[in-house]
Amino acid sequence: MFAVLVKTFGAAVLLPIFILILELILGVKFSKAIRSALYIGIGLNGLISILNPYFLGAVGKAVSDMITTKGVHLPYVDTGWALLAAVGYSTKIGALIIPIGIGVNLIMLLLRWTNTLDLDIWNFWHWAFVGSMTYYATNNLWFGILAAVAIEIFLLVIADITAPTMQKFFNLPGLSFPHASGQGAVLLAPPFKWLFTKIGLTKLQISSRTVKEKFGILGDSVVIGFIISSIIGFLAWGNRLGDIQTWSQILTLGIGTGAYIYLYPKATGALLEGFVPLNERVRDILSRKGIQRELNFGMDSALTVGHPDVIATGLLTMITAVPLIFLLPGNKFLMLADLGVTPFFLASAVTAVMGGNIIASYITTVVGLIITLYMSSAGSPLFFHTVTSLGISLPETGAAMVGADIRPLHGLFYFLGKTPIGLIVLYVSIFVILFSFKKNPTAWYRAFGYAEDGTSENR
Amino acid sequence: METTEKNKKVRVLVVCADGVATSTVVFVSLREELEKRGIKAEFVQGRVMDVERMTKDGNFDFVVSTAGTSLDAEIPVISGVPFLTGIGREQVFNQILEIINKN
Repeated sequence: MFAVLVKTFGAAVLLPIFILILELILGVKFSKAIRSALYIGIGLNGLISILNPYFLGAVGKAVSDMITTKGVHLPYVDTGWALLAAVGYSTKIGALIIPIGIGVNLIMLLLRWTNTLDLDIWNFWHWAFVGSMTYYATNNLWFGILAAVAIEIFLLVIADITAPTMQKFFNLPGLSFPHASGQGAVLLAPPFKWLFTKIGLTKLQISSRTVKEKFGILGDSVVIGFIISSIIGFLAWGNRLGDIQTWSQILTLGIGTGAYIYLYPKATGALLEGFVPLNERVRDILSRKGIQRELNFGMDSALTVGHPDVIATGLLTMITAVPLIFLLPGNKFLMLADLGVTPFFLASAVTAVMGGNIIASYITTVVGLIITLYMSSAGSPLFFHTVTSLGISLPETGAAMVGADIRPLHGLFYFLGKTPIGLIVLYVSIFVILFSFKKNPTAWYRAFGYAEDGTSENR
Repeated sequence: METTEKNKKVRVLVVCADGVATSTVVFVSLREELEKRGIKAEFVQGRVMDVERMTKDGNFDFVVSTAGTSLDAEIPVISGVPFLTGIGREQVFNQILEIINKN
């Protein structure tokens, strides 16, 4: 029934109706609710009916030619995280995620399993995405729900564990970050930090300002996108550079990619604008009702990405991504639209745990990016299947197809979540961490970078 | 009722990490507050990395940032975080009104 509805009406019509109903139940003013639903529809439509097909059409031909002429096998094209959010919210899991997500959070607060009240409703899409992928992989709704709930519980716990470090480092008191991308590489940080301290690497320091001055122009993801797609163009059509037509094709491809990277945030903006009334309403209800004790408000990791050390780490990682995409053995994922996003988010919690040491943060974040490339290579076929099952129509692009930028935690919970054993492993690990943390919070705070002596400084 | 703010037109740069997510939430709720007071505002969204470039000749009155306020800008930078959490929203909004009245 639901699948038929989605196929017939399309996500761009169904999601707005669903959000409208939810808003009216929660008491958002009717005119406001209607407008917000319309914006969600516009944003989704802009993304999945106009921009994604345009971009895939522009890049797909070149990628396909690159595969056939040069054997550079990068068939899965990254068209940006917004499509992942759209897919996440367009399934049965997506329809359930907001009530389930709030419910799980409240239960955990009551049981004192967490101190985080997640007010960042929009970013429930990460959980919905993991759940939807698991659901489509297993055809079993329960697997989807259990995987989505698992990543939520884990993120609330890790948000608590990293809260003292991140609050201090970013100077954001009272907030914590249950954000799947911002915490994406955080589990790597404690062992890496231990190792780097052991071998003395943490003594090496470079300043964020130096990085910014040296690599300033490459900091623009439009520029990086242009460079990568030009490389693709040369690889695809390099055998006939004598033809002026080829040059036109290569440059058109570069400009087309730049155009997409510039335009797709605008469409995403409309989608988000539509989400604001729901976000604000839920926040008002929760923050008024819930507080009998000191809580941290769960927020988007985007708040931390402006820190100079995170920007510097993200910038270096983004530049490193270019050779990695082409040279990493077994990589099939062509990261493009998210180049200006993923490296910076992965750097967020890592940089705080590393106390702002850019070299240590950079190495850790690059490992996180490598994991992302492999997870995306492995998970993209199912994502492509999910996109087509939802009735999102994409242009015929030969060997190239739309891929998903699956960051480390998204990947971990999806790949483990789709098998019964994996789900058990996930839940057992989460509860081991949770109860160990409750028993000895200080040890966990320290492992994740907290130091009373002020070594993780504010700026 | 304050009348000084009326018929003013302000140009605001709202920035966040990716130029989309949290900056949208901030500008939508700021726009609503300003509209209530009859202040016309034009909003431009951007990425925090581009603040220096965008403010240089962008003719903005002030910047609202959700990604830290120690930015390279010669105009006032105000934290947008209170618009996300709801805490301290009044103070920040008063700060903004002050800037608007000064101009």
